[in-house]
Amino acid sequence: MAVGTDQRRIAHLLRRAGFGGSPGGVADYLRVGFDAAVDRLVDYDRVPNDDVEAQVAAMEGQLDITKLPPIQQIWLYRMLATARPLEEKMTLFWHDHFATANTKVGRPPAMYEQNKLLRANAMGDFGTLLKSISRDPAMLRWLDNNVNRKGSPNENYARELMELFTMGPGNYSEDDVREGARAFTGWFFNRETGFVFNRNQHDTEMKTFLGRTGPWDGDDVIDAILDQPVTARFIAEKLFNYFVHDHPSPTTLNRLADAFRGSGYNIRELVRAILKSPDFLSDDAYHTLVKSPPELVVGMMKAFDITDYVQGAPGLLRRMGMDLFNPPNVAGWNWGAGWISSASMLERLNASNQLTSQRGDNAKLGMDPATAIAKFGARTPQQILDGLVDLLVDGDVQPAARTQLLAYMTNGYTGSPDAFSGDRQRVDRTVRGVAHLIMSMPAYQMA
Amino acid sequence: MVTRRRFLWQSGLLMAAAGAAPSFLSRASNVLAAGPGSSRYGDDTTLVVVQMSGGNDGINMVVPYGLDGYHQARPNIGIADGAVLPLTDSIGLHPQMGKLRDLYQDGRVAIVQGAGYPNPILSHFQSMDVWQHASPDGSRHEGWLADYVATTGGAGQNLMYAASVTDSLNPALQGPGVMVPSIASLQTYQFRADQRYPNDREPVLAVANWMYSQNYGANTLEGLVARTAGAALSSVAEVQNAAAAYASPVQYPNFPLANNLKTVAELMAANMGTRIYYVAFGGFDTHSAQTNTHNRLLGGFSDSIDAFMRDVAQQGKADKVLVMTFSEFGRRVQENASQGTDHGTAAPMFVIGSQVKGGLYGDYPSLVDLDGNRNLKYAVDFRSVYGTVLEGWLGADQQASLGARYENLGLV
Repeated sequence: MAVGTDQRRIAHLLRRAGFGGSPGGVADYLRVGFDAAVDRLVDYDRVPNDDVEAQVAAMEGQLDITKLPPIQQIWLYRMLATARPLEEKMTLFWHDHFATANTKVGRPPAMYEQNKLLRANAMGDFGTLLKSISRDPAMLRWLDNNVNRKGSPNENYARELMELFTMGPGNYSEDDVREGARAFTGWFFNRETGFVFNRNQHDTEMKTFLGRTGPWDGDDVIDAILDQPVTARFIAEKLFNYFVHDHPSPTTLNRLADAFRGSGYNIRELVRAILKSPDFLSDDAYHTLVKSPPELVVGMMKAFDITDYVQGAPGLLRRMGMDLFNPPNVAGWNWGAGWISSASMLERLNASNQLTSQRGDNAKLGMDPATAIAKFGARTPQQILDGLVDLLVDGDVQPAARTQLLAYMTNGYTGSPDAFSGDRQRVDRTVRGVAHLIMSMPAYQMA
Repeated sequence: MVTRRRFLWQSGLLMAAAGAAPSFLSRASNVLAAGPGSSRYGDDTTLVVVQMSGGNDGINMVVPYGLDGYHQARPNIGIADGAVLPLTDSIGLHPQMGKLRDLYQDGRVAIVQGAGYPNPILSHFQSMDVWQHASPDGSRHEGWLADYVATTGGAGQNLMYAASVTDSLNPALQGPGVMVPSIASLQTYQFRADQRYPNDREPVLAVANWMYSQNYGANTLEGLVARTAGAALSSVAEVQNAAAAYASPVQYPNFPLANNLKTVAELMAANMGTRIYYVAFGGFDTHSAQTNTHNRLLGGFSDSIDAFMRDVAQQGKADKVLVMTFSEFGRRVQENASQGTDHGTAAPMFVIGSQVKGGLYGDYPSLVDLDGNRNLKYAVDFRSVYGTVLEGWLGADQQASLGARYENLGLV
């Protein structure tokens, strides 16, 4: 279906550059128009986020951040409440890109520090980001660079730096892996003070890396990698895949990659160019990516203005295949079709049931049917259905499906349409049921 | 972020799936006795593939303690001669693998030494792709088990013909016309509706099933979502019945592989005609401080397999189950300076079951005559092991499944 209306463009933008819109959020961005909305999302440094930062600081004080669940909760709180959704969406991108798992690092505070590093550099200069992550204790532990010693180098970091973080396979040799590993010898860390350069364990001899010979260290290796045009292309393609779809044309990709390299690897301008490219608003992009677990869960919560359910959300994400801070391996999660399996689909359907069926004091993840339909002033079953379908899937539903959903809501109902919203028991049952069904639709699983 | 470009066949998948309404209950016995899917062991044999993710150090698993170069290459992490569980005077098992050694002595374990492929790739992800697609040159885009599932009774007939007991569907089971469920655990494999209105469950399910039966385009992820969700809803009742009907009397160890194999045993007890189960466990990327990690992993592996084989035996199915293991690569012969090992090449594969002709297959690769990256030269093409199992155990056509014929090793 086409990205026809302004409303649909903004909803699409908020799904891709964030975690979906709340009813009020869509209206806010709609007022400024698409281009200005992109700029507001991209130039997020100018958007005040003090309330969220204050709440995060409070959570850091109240929760035990030496454990993993609290730092997962804090990050989910950010995704849910932030006034800068693209900041969290980019932090998620880099977490997946520099995929580091606490299963091996074994120190949640180090994972939390890495999360801050990724957030601080999320839209900056890619070279700076690479040089920072190459000194990050969690990364150094994760890829064994803390034991990469002169005389018998450990190849793990150098290999993944090229294969997964910058150039992609096929663009370097096994010799480059070995020589690159030598350049990173002695890049260690100390638990208390962070990165340590151990001079005695660093190999100061000549190395030949990507065709150039010199007494290279890790920063020299990164500079040599940044000199390769393939690096700009690799990152531009991956970000395009993340925000738009998985089949950019060579022309588009070359344009983005050349501009990225020409800008000195300015990530912010690359992301802006991607979001403003015609591809972003094409039919090929609209509702064609599978929502990742946080996009799905945080998106559900935002749609119904649920602001405080972060204790249970990490478990939902984990069962759908995304345990934050624990990617399955250094290549990150398997996106797209990788999110779809019978087990994960049942988790997704059951999460929407959990959201729509909770009640009472424990209903922290629960929607309230009366409140939900009051937001769009609906009285008749048709108005309620239209409101929910617009809110959840931009109205991207075939007429036959509307007929099915309406029949479910009105089965056995004998009153007048206008009196429907006054039938409290039926509203409680069928508004919950129909919201569960809309969030179970294939279209709702798509970003 | 892995966005798999191997999904080129998706349009084929959906077109093949569109015509046939899945009937969950049809059984493998629909297949003619001598036809495809039937080997000399019958048309109801089961293969359990165990994927060891991360690159398992085969050299410290099947220890060449008597071969030249072993102790020289591994002064710190090598297994002492006295600790090895000997199979021959030069080859033995890791000390934590006592249970597997017992199975070996019962003639139930075939070990294929030095399994690998030409021009080995040292990237985890590319090499795993090679093994999952049986395609060292990257030319084959469907999983190595997909054709078997599609042609011998899987497609549109028995949704449980194969099952991935993993969080996400393993690529080895992905291909045109194939819809394989992944079942992480029996407890969570169910559809929940609003418990306050029990009478609403069926109407909600009816609308959901209607939605998933609609056409969302031949080549779209939305279509894949719909089809997968529909298949999941179709299989829920059967899987839940399996969960309710069987409580294993066997005590499994507390280990991830054991949890998955226990789920396999529970599913097997429901007699759903499943021919292939796929499980995976990881942690083998031992670049540093390998010894403790490897002890734990191999001990857990050995104990898990032993518990599973006992469970299968008390179900009366010992003669119908074959377990095959692999990892995406082995590790470097020479240990590194951090008491670990870097990425390597060839490694042993285990094939386990009461029908196996036990023993060692293939020559142990030389530890001193190495390739240009100082790694082992492989002795047996892994596709030969796949082909042997497909042909000898599952009654499959090698050519159709693997695109070529490989030497049958005769181990089953």
